[in-house]
Amino acid sequence: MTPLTINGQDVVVAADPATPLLDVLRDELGDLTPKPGCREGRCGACTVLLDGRPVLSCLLPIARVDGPVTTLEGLGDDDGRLDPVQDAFEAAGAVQCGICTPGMVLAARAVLDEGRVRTREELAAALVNNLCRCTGYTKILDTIEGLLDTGSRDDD
Amino acid sequence: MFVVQSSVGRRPQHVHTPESLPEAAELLREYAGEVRVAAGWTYLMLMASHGEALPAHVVSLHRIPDLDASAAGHLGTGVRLADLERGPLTGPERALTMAASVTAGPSVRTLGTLGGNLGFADGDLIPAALALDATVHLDDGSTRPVLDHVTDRRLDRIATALTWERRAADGWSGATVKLAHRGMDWPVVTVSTAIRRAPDGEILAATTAAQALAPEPTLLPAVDAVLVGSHGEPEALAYAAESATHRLEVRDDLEATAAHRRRVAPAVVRRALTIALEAGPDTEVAAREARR
Amino acid sequence: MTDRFHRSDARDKVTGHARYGIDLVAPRMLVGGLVRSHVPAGTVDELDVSAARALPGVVVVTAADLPLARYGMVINDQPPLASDVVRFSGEPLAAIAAPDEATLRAAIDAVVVRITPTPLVTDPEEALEDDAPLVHPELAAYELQFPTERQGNVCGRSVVEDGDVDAAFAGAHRIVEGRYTTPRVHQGYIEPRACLATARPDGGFEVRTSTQNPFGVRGTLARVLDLPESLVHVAGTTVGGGFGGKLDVTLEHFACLLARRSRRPVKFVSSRAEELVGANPRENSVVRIRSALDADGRIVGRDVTCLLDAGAYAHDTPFIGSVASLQGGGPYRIPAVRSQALSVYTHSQPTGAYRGPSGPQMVLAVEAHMDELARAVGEDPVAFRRRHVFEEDDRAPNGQVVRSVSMRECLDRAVEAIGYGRALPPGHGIGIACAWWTTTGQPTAASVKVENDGTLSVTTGATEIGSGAVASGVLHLVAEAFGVAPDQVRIASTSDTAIAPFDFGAQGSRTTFSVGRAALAACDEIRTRLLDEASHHLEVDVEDLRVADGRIEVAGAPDVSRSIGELAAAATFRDGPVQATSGFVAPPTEHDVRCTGPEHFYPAFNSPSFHCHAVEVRVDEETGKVAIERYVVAQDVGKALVPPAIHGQIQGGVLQGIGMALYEQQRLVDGHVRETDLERYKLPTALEAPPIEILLVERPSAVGPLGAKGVGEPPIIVPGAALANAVAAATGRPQRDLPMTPERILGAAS
Repeated sequence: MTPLTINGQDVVVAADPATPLLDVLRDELGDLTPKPGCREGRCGACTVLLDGRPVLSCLLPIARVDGPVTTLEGLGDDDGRLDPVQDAFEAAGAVQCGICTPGMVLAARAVLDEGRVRTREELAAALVNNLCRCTGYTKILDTIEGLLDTGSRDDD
Repeated sequence: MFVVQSSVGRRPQHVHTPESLPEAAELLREYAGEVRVAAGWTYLMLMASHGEALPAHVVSLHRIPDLDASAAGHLGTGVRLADLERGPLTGPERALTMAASVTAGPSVRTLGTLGGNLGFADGDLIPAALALDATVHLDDGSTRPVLDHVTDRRLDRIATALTWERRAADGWSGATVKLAHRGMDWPVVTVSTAIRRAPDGEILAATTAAQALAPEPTLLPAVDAVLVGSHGEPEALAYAAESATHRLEVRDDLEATAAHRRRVAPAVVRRALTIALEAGPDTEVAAREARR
Repeated sequence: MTDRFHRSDARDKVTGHARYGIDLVAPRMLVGGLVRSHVPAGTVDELDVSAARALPGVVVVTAADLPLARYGMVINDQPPLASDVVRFSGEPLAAIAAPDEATLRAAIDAVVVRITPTPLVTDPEEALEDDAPLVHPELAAYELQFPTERQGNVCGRSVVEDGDVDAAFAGAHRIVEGRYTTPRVHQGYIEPRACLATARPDGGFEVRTSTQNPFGVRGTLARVLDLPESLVHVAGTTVGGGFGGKLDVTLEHFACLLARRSRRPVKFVSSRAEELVGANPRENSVVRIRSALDADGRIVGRDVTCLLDAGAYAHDTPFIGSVASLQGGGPYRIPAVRSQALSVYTHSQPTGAYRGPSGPQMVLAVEAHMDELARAVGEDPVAFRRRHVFEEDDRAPNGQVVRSVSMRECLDRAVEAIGYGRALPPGHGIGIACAWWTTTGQPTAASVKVENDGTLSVTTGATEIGSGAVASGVLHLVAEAFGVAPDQVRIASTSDTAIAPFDFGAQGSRTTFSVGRAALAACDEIRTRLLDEASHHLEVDVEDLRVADGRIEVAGAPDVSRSIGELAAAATFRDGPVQATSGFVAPPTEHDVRCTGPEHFYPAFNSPSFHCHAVEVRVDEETGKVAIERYVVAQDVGKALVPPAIHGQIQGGVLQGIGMALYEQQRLVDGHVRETDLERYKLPTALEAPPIEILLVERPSAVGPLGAKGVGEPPIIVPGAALANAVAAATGRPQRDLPMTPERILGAAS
């Protein structure tokens, strides 16, 4: 039995310790937001945050999870308000088919929280583990750049 | 070959998470022959999803304290790639910082470690470690040169730290340049160098190494031989770069043919040497300069 | 039309509520997988599934269990499961369902397969030689769904011919020819193909699937399962990318067969490796193109032959070949053109539709050849094109009269925006490419209803695959029809064969065009009813009423009004609920049947759009890498309905085109695909995305909603050509083969 903290909730899961976090989230905990796009760590649709940093949950066994995990379900607040990243993606047309969106939004959240990215090229490099086939990345980069400039927390 | 959805059936059954090095070493002894060590796990899980069966036991090092210490000339093997890429942008260590910044992608670097990267043959950090003339420390107190660590694996021991003597204060300057098709691909060729220069500009010593140029990570002594004694003139750099593939068996793989690697390697070598020499020990170079 | 951008599905996607095929789950469901051939061509000596069947809870289906021997879209050449012969590495031999993945893996591993290899042909040019191994020796005996040429390894031939081509070449002042090739590329959808099938007690099936075309899937399933269509219910999930790769049956037939046999729901999901070895990628091509020039350097004759590699089964390649044959002249006035496309069998995975099918292949050949023609006559490539571009009412080689033409404007605007003609730094080059494309018509229907709260609800059998065609394009049209904010329109249902009338599928850039027309017609009917109701309430003649801002008001006295919600509620009780359904099919575009023949599958470009891409590259001659400095798109959209959504389509399509031009390819080694994962098959990342300047040109279509033309496909068909021309300009070496990998760019130098 492995204890995990997912979106602020402590849970204990029964899956074998080498089971990828992606499968535990989806199959055992019913959180379908991280997506199995390739299962080889190359598309990033499975991205979740570990201690606020992006990880590829398809390659991460639960035995190795040593901090709090955030999935897309963990963004926003209990009153139904979305995270500014989610609002911005929606408004800007950065969502087309949406399969990359959960991973991309979390990766964007991590970039903004870390506060190190300064240029568009650095931003693109920070998203190199998140593939998108629909948007060509332009609106995704535009949206995150806009949040970098204006600050992305609504309590700013 | 046509793998079903997941790595199921090929994962280790037993995952051990020791909290001390002696405990970890004991586990390696107990399960010798059917055990591997893991830190960030990324490479192991990738192997499993590609159809390779993992051993029944894996010893995960992530709970062992003090494996991520970092000081001048010293890095614990538990230091994450994400932290390495924020390391010094000056001195010989610059080679390691630049290499880390172009290793895989940010989500892999969150958990990937120095030790993990040095622990497999295609590790992007290996040339930088070679350029530093670094030493690998093992849990039993013994030490080995990096090249030995990479080519002659000790499956019963755990690497704990990487140390090196070379310092910016002594005139050492490092750089890494990686040529790849896309930002997070395996390299066509990665070159790291560390060069020591006297105040009058004469190159006193140099260590240049490459990943993916040869079947194994390799030092490039032909390059160094041209550099040492020169003043880093453009002609010397060009000649040094051209010498990189002399009498070298060049790798042929899915990223590039040997012919292509032969053709492009000199440009990558020359670029790494140029960055190291132009910046010198004390000027910061942005990590993104590593990307070619 | 609007600067208030809205997509009805974005909220669900951005919060993770959207449910894709990969998310499908049903109680007691089994997981499905396929046993695939590891031999590219051979005879099956043994297929023993008994050990697999013996595993607990495992169900296995082989060819022996199928009601139908072969099926296909044009030729019935494809067995759902191979029986005595395999024709590509990865061909399915058995379908297995098991209670869990571990058991499924064990069952697949337990199947004994022995295959004796037979002679192999994997190159389409070699497949045409007289002594080539035949992929289908029994080809003449197969039933046809549509008439098609079939002979040797040829499974389709489309020819468009106008004018006297032989005379043009005989009298030419100069003849230039070239040979151009493009790779096999995968659509790259991030969500793998996935479906879940449940057998019903009436003998039918409920099928949920990630599809672009539920009606197409239903039709094929009905044939393969030998059932009437009415017993097969296909409902699409949210789709995580399709781009043509999810247009027909992919895995659903396996899921149904196993669901029936096991009496449990069965879910299939492709692994990424299976996507790369056993899906329907874009055909690799070889195009030979010749032009006859007169003494003034004008093109007077054109002869083109395009070989499209169909792979082991014809699938839709003959259809795609007919689209190819329309493009041999490009968007140019050429008096004598012969343009033919051959669909050729090889021992490789069957190819299929991918955004703009045949477009990138033909546009590369035509446009790279145009630059070579210009060089041959000593003229600037842009000036050369200007002398030839279509003008209004010109005749295309299929005899259609081209209308709503904007080719010159698109060319001029792109050329200006890229700064054509300025001095460039060393290693830089600018390339230009022009194209025209179609807006596929084909049938659809849409229902619109008005709710009591004044919102509008749209139902259609069409599919929203992520482009925004329905969730944004149709939505905005309906909103505009009543002057309501876009978020007052809901898309109630899409992609369900049980709920809505037929739709031809999300393909051919047709969805906003066709569904938009149908929806607007339905809105017209509703407007008539509501005006009637308002007239009754307000005691005013209908002629004195206007629709504005979601209300019906008296013209000149806007305070006297009723909301459409109130009116709908009242009308409901007078005359019945306020809803309208309208169908739409675009009128066929006239062409000259003497040019195409009577059996040409796609004889004309419908509501054609025009395009010019201009790109500046920097080629590093030491590493062979190509950096894109600037990229300009001038696209004729007819009428820009939702500019942000159009921009999204252009940005995405251009990067897919860049991927095909520089990074992506599937190569065969001894009949096996080399690129079996996303490490080797290189999809562009955010670092490969260049800035794209977009210029929207509007030359309205006489048919499209508010004059709109289709926008989704063309952005992908031009980049390969534009980049080839740019790299040629930068290096001084013509580029005739995609992808232009560093290896190729440097190799050409030595």
